[in-house]
Amino acid sequence: MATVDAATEVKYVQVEPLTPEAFAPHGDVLSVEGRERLPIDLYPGTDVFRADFHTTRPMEWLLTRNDVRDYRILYLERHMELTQAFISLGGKPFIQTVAAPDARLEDDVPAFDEVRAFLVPGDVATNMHPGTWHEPPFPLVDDQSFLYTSHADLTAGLGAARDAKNSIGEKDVDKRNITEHAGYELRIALPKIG
Amino acid sequence: MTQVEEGVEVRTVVAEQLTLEAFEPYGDIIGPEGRERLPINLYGGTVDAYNIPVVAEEPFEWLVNRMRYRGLRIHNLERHKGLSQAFIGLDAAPFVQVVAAADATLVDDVPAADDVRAFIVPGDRGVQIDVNVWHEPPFPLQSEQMMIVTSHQSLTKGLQSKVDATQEIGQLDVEKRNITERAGYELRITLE
Repeated sequence: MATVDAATEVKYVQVEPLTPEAFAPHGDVLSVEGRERLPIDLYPGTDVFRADFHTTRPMEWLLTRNDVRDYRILYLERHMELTQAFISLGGKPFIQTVAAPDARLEDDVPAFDEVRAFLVPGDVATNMHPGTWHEPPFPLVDDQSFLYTSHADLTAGLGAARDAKNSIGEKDVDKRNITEHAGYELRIALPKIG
Repeated sequence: MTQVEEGVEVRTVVAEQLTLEAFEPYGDIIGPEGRERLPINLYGGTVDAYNIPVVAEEPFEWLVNRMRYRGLRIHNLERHKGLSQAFIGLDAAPFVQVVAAADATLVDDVPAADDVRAFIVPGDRGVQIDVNVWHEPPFPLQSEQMMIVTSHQSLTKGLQSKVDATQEIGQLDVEKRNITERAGYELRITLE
């Protein structure tokens, strides 16, 4: 869907429910669904499942405290050196925008029809493939905290100065401004209730 | 506090509120409190970012735990030397984290009861324990809770080892000791 608003075209990404199948091109859903229970029987009522994590660098956590921001996808960014997890603290749902690592690029950003938005329930987390394009999670309420996997270079890269196109391309952060590159505004169409 | 009950002494650990100061000897609280905001300013002041270091000697992996309420008895204390292990609740429900410091006094080869502490972790926070901190897996406080726990291969495989005659594991990166088998008493958490 595209509308013309003053001089800047606005495109909307529809929010989809999160399923392991729908998310598979972008990463793993960290939940029990589709995973095999490990033969660990040390505690009654405790089922343990494992999921992969990959990094080529020493891992660290990045934690963010977020207020609601405009549901506009300002940038898409990606990291090649790790699988990045988004974990919502406090069981609150959030919206995660992604494009697959092999997404078709137009004007050096993932093409509009390659970008997807998932509503992630608060009681599961996601773990993106290396190279999956994304924005930081969009909270649905103020004062929401998220935990991410990171490495020192990635964390430092996020604080790097932005270039003439308001983008970052260093230290395992390839962060590209949509409007500066492609000329349109990219927004999330929130699901309507009822 | 001790009491004698049908021959087996029961000792109790009173669950405490989680604070930065109280948890400091055991690890990190996964939350923004007490951390320095990083100079990341990309979203108009709506996002504050902080970092939390991790110690991992081997490639890291995830465990997704589905945990039903199992009572509040501390059967075992275990520790891992190759990972600062994180416990993160996924569904807003608080849980109890039992710990004893890496240098806790050992009596009968388990941390002395006085050195064992229990913290109530709010549902919107997690904890990451330092390397070699003694602990039990989180105690859920409701009928079923989902948690994410960090691990590495020799820890996950170690947990799958057969328990020995004393209900213990001493394999790979799992050193798990049974309190009652070693020290003769039962150790329980009480909530106040």
